[in-house]
Amino acid sequence: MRNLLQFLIKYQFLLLFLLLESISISLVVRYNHYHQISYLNFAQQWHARLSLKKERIRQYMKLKEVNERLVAENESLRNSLEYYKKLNAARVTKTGADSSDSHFLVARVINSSVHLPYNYLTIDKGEEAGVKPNMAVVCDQGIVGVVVATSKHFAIVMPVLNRKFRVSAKFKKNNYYGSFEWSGTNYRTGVLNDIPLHVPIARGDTIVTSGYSNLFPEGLMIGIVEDYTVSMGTFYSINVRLSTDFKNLYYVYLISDNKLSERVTLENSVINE
Amino acid sequence: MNRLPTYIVRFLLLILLQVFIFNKIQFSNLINPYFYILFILLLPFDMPRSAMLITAFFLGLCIDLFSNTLGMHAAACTWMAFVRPTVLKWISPREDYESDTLPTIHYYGIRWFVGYTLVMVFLHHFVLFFIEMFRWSDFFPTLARVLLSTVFTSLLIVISQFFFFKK
Repeated sequence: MRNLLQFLIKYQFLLLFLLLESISISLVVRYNHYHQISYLNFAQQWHARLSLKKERIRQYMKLKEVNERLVAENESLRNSLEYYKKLNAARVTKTGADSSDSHFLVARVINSSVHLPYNYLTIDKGEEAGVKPNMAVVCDQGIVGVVVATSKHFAIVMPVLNRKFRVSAKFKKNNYYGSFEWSGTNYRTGVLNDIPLHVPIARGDTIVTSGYSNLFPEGLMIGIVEDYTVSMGTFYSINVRLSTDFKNLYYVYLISDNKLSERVTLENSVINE
Repeated sequence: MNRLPTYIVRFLLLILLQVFIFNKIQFSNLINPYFYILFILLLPFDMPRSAMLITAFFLGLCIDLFSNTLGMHAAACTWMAFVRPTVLKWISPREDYESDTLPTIHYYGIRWFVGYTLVMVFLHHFVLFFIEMFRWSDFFPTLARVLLSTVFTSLLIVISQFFFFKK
């Protein structure tokens, strides 16, 4: 309080000047027609500009909520799409791996890395939401990885960007398949091995999952051919540009396949014999 | 000595002069003399600065009331009173202002007084004319009006010193 008084006394001349000037200017804009109109125009213009800015900021703040709504809608659309696919498959009495009872579950990535030799992702859905180990994880751009561990509310995903990750992949155009793995250094590229030399390859060819691995459904986007070399004289080693941008990954879908456990049990029983 | 009655009479006289004579003088909208600010020029050196601000504000307000320009002269006069101490310091003669003197030709000579008048009148007219225009788009035409009116008003003020305020 004393400081305030001291301040007022010290600057009384300036403060009084400002007070009298503001009284004068307010009189000017209130009682002079021309000035009033100029002032109103000016004020209105600035008001409009400011409200535009404010509106932009508000929209930006709401982006997260809007995004979450869109993702939820996407999830339900994917589920109904799967349902109609099944209906359609049943109608034409076509059976196969892709008419399995799969079901999509959306999750948000809450932790991830891309520059380690063994990268992992953490997602915000766990056992409570029905997440189990060995579930396939995809996103709108393509393949992401596979669930390796779960807790009650979280799950760990081993993404393509992990030196332990392997998946069976094929050319979309001619179904030649090989083994796909990460390049080990660059988060944007992977390597497709074991493609025989007689297979015609061109840059830009699309690589998808083959469905022979028991984790991923067939035809899931992996990436496109960037360039290729011949390794050990008999096979191509193909550099594939990953379609999934792991540095910009926020929402993923988990695919739960009800028939998967049945298939794995059957396959294991033969191997163990 | 009590100078208060002198100032009150001068205050009223200048308002009347301004309202009934000088407000009627307009040369093609370029030159408008505002003689009444002589009152602020002649205020004593030792007057408290805040009192000076308030006096100038009311002087301007009175002129405004009579010339239907509410607030404009008040703003310009307040501004003029605000800068007066700075201007006085800036153009002070070699020996500082002596006590018991007034800022007039009689004490500080015609050169000092003309300089003082020109600076102060220019500062007042600049603010007044730009508030009157209320926009920057016609800057140079307005500045021309300011300069011409400054010369004319200053001329009137300096001449008046020889006629009315002889000691």
